[in-house]
Amino acid sequence: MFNTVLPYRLVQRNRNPGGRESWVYEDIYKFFVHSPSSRRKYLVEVHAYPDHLYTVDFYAKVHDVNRYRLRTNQRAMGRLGGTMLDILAGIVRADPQARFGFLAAAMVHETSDFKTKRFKIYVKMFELKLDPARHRVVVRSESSSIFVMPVAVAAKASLQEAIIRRYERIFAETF
Amino acid sequence: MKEFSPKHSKKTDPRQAVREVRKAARKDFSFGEAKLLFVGEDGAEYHSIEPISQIPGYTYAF
Repeated sequence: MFNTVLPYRLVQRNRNPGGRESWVYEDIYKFFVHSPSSRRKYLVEVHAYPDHLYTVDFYAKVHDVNRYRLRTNQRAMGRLGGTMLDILAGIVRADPQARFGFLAAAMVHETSDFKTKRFKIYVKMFELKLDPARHRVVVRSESSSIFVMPVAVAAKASLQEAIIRRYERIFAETF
Repeated sequence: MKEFSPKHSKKTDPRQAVREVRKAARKDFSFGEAKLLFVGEDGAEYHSIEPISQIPGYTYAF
């Protein structure tokens, strides 16, 4: 699982001249997931913050306020995860010091953020597919958040905690 | 007029009972190999997750 990479491309890079949020730029990628009965466009938003911090969100393009929480029932998590990991790998190639923060959104029927269904599958994905010699994964079950950072950064406990605290401020500003 | 169909009622559907048994037997989510890293200011626990060994022939993403 998580070995298939769908064809994707970078659509655009948005700057943040107004500075309403703290990100510096935003890259938007797109790809399509085909199932026997449907074809869905997925959008991936990568926000870059100062000091090599990145957040990555993806969703199926639907007109719904709950777009991060919906299920598409395409049975495509393996392909979606593989594609996401390839996008992350591209970011790491360009910026080897990149750190990532993810918030696993709750399903529409889930009432709390504690160990959401998405959190469980993302954790399994990172357990399987991230090279432990290069990256460390830290998770917080209470808010279903996941942080990925290079081993050299994670070795310094104070730096690691400072990065996690910064990510929590970023999540508070965005969600 | 359409009659009541027990097939479409989850409560009377024997297959739903089987599903419930299966759901109860499924073990709760647990990390593969996780270590408690530190406890945050608000008491939240932060775990460092360890990798599951790779299936031969498969590679790490990055």
